[in-house]
Amino acid sequence: MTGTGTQADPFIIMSAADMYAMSTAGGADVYCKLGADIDLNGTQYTDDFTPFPLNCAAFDGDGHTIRNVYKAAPGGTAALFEVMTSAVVFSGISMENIMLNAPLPNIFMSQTSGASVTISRCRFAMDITTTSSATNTSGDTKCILHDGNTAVNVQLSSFIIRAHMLKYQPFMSGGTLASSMFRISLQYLQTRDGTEGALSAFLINVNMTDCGFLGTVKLLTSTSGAIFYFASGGEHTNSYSAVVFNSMKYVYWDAYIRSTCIWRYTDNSNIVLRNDKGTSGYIKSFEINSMKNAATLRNYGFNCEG
Amino acid sequence: MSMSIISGRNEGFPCIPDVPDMHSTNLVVPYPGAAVIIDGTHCDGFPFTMTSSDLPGSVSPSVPYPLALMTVSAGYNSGFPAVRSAEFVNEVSFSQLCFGDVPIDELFFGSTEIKFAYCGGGTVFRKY
Repeated sequence: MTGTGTQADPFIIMSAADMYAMSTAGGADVYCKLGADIDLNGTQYTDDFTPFPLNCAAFDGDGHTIRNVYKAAPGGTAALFEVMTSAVVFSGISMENIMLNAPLPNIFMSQTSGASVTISRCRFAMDITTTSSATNTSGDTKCILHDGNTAVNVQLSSFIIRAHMLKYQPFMSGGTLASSMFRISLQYLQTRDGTEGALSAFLINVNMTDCGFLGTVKLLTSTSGAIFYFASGGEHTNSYSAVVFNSMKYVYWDAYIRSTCIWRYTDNSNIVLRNDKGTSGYIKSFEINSMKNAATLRNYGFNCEG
Repeated sequence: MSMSIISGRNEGFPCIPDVPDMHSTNLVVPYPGAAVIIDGTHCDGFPFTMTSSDLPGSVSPSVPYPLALMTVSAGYNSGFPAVRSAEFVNEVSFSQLCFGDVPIDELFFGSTEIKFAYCGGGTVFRKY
């Protein structure tokens, strides 16, 4: 690696080996920057991937891409990055073709509690398989984006997530989600109803503003009265969901809605939107054409140019 | 940063102008050189994957094995799903491909979806 690791002269990372060198070369005051795309295909890390160490104050992808990460650990753990400092700014990076298979895989994990990551201007395209059938009634917050030791704030980023889940795993718990876009394809076999459902919502106590969700969520087994928690808790403003929900009875967008949020209308009377936080008056149900009309959205208080 | 509806972006739904549109949802498998192999001389005949690098002299994939070809056939294993190798499949059977515990509906060789597979001039797999 070139550079000295200062903010003015960051370490320039050119390869997967350089990424792993951060483990010893980095530190809480160290700055790192990608100098090239990194492709793990055909490398020694192809079949034996371990989390990239994030041992720095800031990791700047500088527009580069890390691609082709594969980790299958059906009985173990799978994570993309290990956060080794208390706070990291993670920016300007695209993650492509990331495949994680584990009971509860994570993008960011940490060995110690109190770690935090600020994600800015990043893109993630991932294929996730979760194999955990554990019941969660104690608020275990091992999420797709982070584990229970790591807090994450996200802005100006996008996520494509295709997930095959035994039971659906939360995407994010706590933190903020701002000006970000999602395309999700979630398929799962077993429901989480009642208390477990709320504690395993896709978004748990996330403060969200100006975010959009497209895609599908599908329950693969026929279950009467099945519930999917899109959100539980948190304060949501100016966000929308155009997600298509299949094979479930109730979808909960159970957050504190502080300004107009939009929900895609479904003519499937079997699906009922629920919001028990008492602020459902701000959730508007629109057909697709109306969701694509800026003037209509503004008429109902949704802030949208165009 | 607030949302905008921009022609040609995000399928017409509101988007964040500074956040580039996302990739196609058709993800490409990580390893273009990887394939599911059934070879009676390795792995006790069970399917396994190899990368584009040369196959090691001793192949012993770690267990549990994430990719398994399970078949359902009334005449085998009392009709319950079972992992089988190609040489033991001698009748037509419908299969559910599983990745771990989860059914999958797409199988790729490199970046090409597999719809048919052949062995010895005969069709051994067809996607319905």
